Amino acid sequence: MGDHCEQTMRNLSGYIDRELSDADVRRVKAHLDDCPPCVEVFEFQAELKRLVRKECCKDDAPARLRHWVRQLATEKPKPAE
Amino acid sequence: MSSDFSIFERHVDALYRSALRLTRKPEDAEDLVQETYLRAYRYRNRFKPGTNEKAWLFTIMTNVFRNRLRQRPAPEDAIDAPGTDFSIYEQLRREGMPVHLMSPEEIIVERGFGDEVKRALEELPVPMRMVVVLVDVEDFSYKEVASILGIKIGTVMSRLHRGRQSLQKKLWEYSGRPKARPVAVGAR
Repeated sequence: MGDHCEQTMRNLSGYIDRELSDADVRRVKAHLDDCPPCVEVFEFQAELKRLVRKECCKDDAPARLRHWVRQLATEKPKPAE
Repeated sequence: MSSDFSIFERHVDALYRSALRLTRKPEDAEDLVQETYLRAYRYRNRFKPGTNEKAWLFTIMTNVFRNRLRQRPAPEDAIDAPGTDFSIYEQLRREGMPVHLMSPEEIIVERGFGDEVKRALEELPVPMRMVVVLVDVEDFSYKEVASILGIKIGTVMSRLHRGRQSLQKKLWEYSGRPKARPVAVGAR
């Protein structure tokens, strides 16, 4: 693994999470253009993140809870405690 | 200057799905979300309109959750020793799988990792689990997560890194594959 690969792997989470500076994003992109093995790792990590989100987003709040929050939101403000 | 409470209402699904990952039980999750909204309601005048109301709600919820844990601690999984890096991708490659010919969907979903994601997430130690949920599911920035949990950005990043590694290790074990071997990919 070359220096550029190691640097890319270090920055991979930040890249996937859109947390890198513009300069670092350019560096990661430039390396990924040239390095299929790093692209594979990148795609795998990105897919895992999407999968976590997709699976967790299947759980919506129960209707009863939603109704309870609705009532709280539409309630007239109580006098100051 | 009371803010309109209805702006908080739209985050009920987000709060609930995260509460479910934290408490692992639907009835406890519902209770945690109710407590969160009751506090938000009580302190609604402290919310600064125009700031991020979702982050404000999650700050309340994670605080309530941590206080509850302190009062009645749940048996906690041991935190993985630092430095045990793990990558499903590397494991498959070492086994001689043609990973370079497989799409990430094939590697993860078609190999049976998909169904177990929530279970794996819920088995992560709480500090890592909170960071992974806030970043990966709720899409908060590292800076927002640091502020929500009252920790440093560097701590957010290291918990996220370790959380994702542990997640992969658990998914790997659930898939019934042989012992995980530590690998050096994505290290420090």
